[in-house]
Amino acid sequence: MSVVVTDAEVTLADVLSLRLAMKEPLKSGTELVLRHRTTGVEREVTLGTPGAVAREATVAVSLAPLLLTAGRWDAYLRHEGKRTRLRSIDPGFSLDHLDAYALCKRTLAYRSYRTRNGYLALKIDDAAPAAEVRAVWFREGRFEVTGLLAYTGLEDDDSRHEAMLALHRKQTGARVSATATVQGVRFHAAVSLVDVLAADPEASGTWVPTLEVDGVGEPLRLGGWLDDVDGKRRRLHYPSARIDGVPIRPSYTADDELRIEVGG
Amino acid sequence: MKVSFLLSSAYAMRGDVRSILNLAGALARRHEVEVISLRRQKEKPFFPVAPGVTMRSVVDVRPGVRHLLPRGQVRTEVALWRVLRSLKSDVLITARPGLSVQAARHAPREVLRIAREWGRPAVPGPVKKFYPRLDAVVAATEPAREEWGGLLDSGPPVYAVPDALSGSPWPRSRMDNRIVAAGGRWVAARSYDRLIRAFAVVCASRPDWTLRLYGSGPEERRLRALVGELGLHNHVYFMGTTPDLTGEFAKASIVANTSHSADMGMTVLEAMGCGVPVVAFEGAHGPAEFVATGYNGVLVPEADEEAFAAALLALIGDERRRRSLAAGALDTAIHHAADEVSEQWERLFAELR
Repeated sequence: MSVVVTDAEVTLADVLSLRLAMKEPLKSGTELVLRHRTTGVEREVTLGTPGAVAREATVAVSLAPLLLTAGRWDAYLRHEGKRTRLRSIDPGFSLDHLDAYALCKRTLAYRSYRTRNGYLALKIDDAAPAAEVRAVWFREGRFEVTGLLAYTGLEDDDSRHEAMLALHRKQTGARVSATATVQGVRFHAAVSLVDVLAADPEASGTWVPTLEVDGVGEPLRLGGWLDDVDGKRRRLHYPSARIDGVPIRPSYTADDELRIEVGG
Repeated sequence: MKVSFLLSSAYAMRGDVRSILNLAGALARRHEVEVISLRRQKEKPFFPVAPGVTMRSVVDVRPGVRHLLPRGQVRTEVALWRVLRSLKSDVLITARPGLSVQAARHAPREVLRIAREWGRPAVPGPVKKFYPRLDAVVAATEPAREEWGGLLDSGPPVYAVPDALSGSPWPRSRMDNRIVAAGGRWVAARSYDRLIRAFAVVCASRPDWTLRLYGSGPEERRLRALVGELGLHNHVYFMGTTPDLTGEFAKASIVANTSHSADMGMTVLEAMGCGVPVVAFEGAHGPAEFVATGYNGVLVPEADEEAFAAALLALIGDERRRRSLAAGALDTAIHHAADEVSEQWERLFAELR
């Protein structure tokens, strides 16, 4: 059974839509099997087969009823107990589509992708409201950040929302905040670095930024998740600023959350 | 038929290694194929190796491996001599002038000895002296064939067979991400600094586009400093190495190559295999041999960043042109399909025997 996925996408309604190209038509009773990569749990869906002999097929599988859990799931085709892994030539997502997908409120975020060995797989994350960072600068003694709100359910229109960027230090309980602009789902915030130093002049350490937006329940974490670039700590190096001789540098944690490191 | 490839190391991340492993994988479907590395530094090869290919090495220099004799040049030469003397293959393909010279001197005469060449040799003396003993020289491109033909006027016949792309299905770009990608070792010869400077110009008018650099190498610190200096930290991603460069290129809409030296252009071919147009500098070697302006990419005539940035911007602004170039790129890549290239090699073996 030689089948190649030529187009894969998880639609906004959480439907896995695939286009398959194959040497011989799918036999009736062929199942699409999704297998969790670490636990080995399997979920299967029987594919409807067309009456006609076709070398191409489109498949649409609704993912929510399959009760998939967070993690990575590999895709197989199974017929009479014989299982073949699905090859894919499609990257499986586009970055603009991921932005559009994050506009809705969701608890699970599904994404199809092509593995490094060229197979189709699904990546499922727990989705909580978050602030996706797109750009960071140090300008005129301020730390500036812009991006968009993900999974908040806010409309992508021109309406403005009251918002506040807050920086916390867990160890000392220090807190600095500044007004942020949120228009639709885009946000921009700036905080004076002098204020950050003044709030905790003694200690050097890590500050955790959060964005508090009116109408969104809890403070949003800032980070970079809406793309295929994992490990931003290594891949994106932000420049540092020096205020009163103290170096300040934004960076990412291992989970791609934004932090501001003060001091050496 | 048994075919042996001799490389300096099949474990390294280099375009020539990639090309040889692709060819070995395609030949392994019909022949017995082994890849011999002069030195083995790693546990696993960087690039995937097809299941039918046997790997072995002349000298094992993995950390922690103990040896009876001290390591050094003489020991390597003796070990290579022993391997070549006792070689029981029908065809030996050597992928470096230094190794080809050793094969010409020591490999048994009944073995078909072929040198695989990309650029011109750094030291032509031994090449001129020993290459006449070889059965053939096979260059990767037509200009390289002519150059080698001129160098070896009394020597073996010189042929041209293109590099092979991977035998597994190539990923296909949707051309909908605003990404410019570049891949390869981060060495001075690839002049990524010029690409970053050119991208600074692009960013000034199209800040929604990002540049992704794949690879690793000694230039990393300098390039990161340059990105900081130009304020491009939000736009330039240092993606690191990946064994699946084609899969990453398939996420991009343009692949850039600013290499100025003799470069074999394997990343350019891989980009074309994904259906992504290539922007490169015009030069005697490398990318310029595959890229044709208006067909599968853009060649920038002068070696300055302004012109390169202008070419990138023109392509960024014109989606229709980008898509038509992508179709041309796929068309070019078809001639480098592993099956077709391996058949060309088989015809060559039959002709030479």
